[in-house]
Amino acid sequence: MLKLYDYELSGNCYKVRLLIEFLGLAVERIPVEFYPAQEHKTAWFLAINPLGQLPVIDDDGLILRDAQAILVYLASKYDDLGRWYPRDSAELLGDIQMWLSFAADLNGTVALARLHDSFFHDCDVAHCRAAAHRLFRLIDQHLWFAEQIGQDWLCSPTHPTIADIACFPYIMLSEEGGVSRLPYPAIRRWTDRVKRIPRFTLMPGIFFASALPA
Amino acid sequence: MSGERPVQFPNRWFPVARIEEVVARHIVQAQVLGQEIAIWRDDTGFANAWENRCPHRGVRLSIGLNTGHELRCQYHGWRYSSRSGQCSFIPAQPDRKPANAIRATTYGCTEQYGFVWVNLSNTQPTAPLPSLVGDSFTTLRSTHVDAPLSRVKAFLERRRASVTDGGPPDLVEIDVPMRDPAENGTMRTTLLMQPMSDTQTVIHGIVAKALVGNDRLALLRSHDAYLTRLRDEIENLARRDDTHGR
Amino acid sequence: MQEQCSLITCEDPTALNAWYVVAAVCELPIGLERPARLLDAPLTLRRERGGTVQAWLGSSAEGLSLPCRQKFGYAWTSLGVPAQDIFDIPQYDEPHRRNMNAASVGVNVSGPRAIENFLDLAHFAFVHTNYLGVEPHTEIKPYQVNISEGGEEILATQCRAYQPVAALSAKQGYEVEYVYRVPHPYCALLYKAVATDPTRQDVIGLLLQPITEDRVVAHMLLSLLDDTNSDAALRGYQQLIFSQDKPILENQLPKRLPLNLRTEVSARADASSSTYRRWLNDHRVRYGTIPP
Repeated sequence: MLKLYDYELSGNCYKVRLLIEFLGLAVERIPVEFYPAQEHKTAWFLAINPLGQLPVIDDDGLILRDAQAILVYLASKYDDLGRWYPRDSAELLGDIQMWLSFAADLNGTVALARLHDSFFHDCDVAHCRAAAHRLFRLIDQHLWFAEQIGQDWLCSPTHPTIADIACFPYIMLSEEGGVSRLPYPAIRRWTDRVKRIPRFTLMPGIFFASALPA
Repeated sequence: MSGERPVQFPNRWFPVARIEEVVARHIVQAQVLGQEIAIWRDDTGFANAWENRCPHRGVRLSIGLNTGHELRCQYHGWRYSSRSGQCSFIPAQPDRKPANAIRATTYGCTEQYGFVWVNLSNTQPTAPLPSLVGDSFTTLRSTHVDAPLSRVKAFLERRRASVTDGGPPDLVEIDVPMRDPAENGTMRTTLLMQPMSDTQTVIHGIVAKALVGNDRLALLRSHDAYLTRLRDEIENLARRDDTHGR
Repeated sequence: MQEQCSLITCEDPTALNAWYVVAAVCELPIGLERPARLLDAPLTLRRERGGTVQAWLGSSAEGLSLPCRQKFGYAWTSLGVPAQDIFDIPQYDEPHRRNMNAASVGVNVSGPRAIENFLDLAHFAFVHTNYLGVEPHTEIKPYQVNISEGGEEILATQCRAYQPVAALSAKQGYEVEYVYRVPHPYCALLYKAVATDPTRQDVIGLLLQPITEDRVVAHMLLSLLDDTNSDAALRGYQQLIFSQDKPILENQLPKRLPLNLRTEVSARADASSSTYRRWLNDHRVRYGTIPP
């Protein structure tokens, strides 16, 4: 069975949990206590991931770290419809990769601000917030123009991809790091749409959106 | 009942969102003159603008649910009906009808010229909307600026934009020459100011021409690029002035 | 000395003359200094090799030494002169107790708002859906709220809520009964009868360290009777529950608690909250509140 080394409050782990739900995969969640035990820095975990970071998956002996990489793998291997990561479209793959890298930028900015405010992570939080706002302006503009051509998702006109999953958690939790989404109406509409994806699941700090009229 | 002393708002209409952005089962979070507003459309199409605060324990209504006929607060599930704002259901006491006095604070809300407008004052009669364009128009993507309205206006005035005050100074309509890709000239554009707070402004825009398809997209993109550059200049100036203590 | 006094800007005597948790002792690195903030004042903490914890207002080199006690696994200090000792929790010292700090989490809200949320039952079905409550079982039956003889503590009893059961076990939910106790303006305790022995209680404590009027560190004390779960699992569950409350707290306006009972609408289920607001006013607590 697919194993996921996981921490409930981690947005990066949540990315993997989301795709696992969307794909209907069975998974064994192995809790690794990020706080207070800092279990991700202990010897047994470093033996699995020398970077000492979550999430990590173990799929029948194949070990992968990095949420974005795990999304690529799980979508490629288990998505029979080939929609979450459409390998037959070079354009889409390039586009998705662009936004996976953007998600990594979110990790280094808005996610750090959340770690600072909640868990007193030492960082230049003002810088993180300012950088987060620059990223939010960019993605808000992108989503707004996507809407103008009837596209509800970051990359594909017709369905969400792993790019949407990768960017969603830390955007949705941005206010925990003091980054308000009030100036970003297109982002706010997009987060509602992500929440309406069938089999969408929550993490603490996130609530369901209203269902659309039948 | 807003938690602190009541604030007097001017009897003015402010644009807060493009009509098509107030989508079904969504709650728009906006701000005017420091007051947060929850804007939402019920399933009949009626647009509500309410104080973004549940009267129970002060939680933002914008993190709650728009069920199509009411807003539900995320904290205790209290429900507030469209139009009246009246509390219709308190889950902790499901068999008791909530007292009439329990209601969300509602603001004047209307839709015209492609925008949703809000009037925060409770004085009657409410001021008329500024007259803008005829029946043919295209609304632009709105631009958020990290600068107060005074700075935005001062910048535009220095740029020799034709400033025509549509009324009291808080709402300023400015005609700015802009580039039209099809005509290689300029396009007369009206910018509408939404003073969010002492530190932020939203610039809405409208051109008096109905465009469709690729022409419309091209206009939206070129205007957005222009307004974004304008915004960056305003913010750079503001940062420079703040650094020098002005 | 005058320099240190100017580090204290809080002017609320009730707030100043109280004990506050400033750290879970086991989370303090030994021999290293850790900055902290309390009531807007900068502190320095240091856990010594022998087990004591020291606290200073300002730096350790030039700052004023503050009184520092340890209780329930936490380091407590005060910027003033507390009239009373830190309150007791008799259950904590019972044998076979699982005592630990579930987490110390920063929250951008005032202390009193966070205490009220802890005392509240009516949000279970909406904020802790399928954990502590579920629709349509949202009714909160009347409960009792009393203030102790000398006015030092609030006690809420017969607080009942419908608790759903985890998917793997029984099909029906059941009613749980809680007791809440407020022994301090910034601390609240929850008592829940243990399934295996209804004469004994699990105790969960919310011990707040007010950093500013609009920001706290929430230290969560667990004192549980549990034979099956690991420490990490017990902490993880409490972290999950609290993290569901966090966005609610951080979206409350105003951040400070209004003490005028007419400012916000209350329902019958809000008896604890109304009593707590009156009690804070009786004790003239001004830090983190909006006076009537």
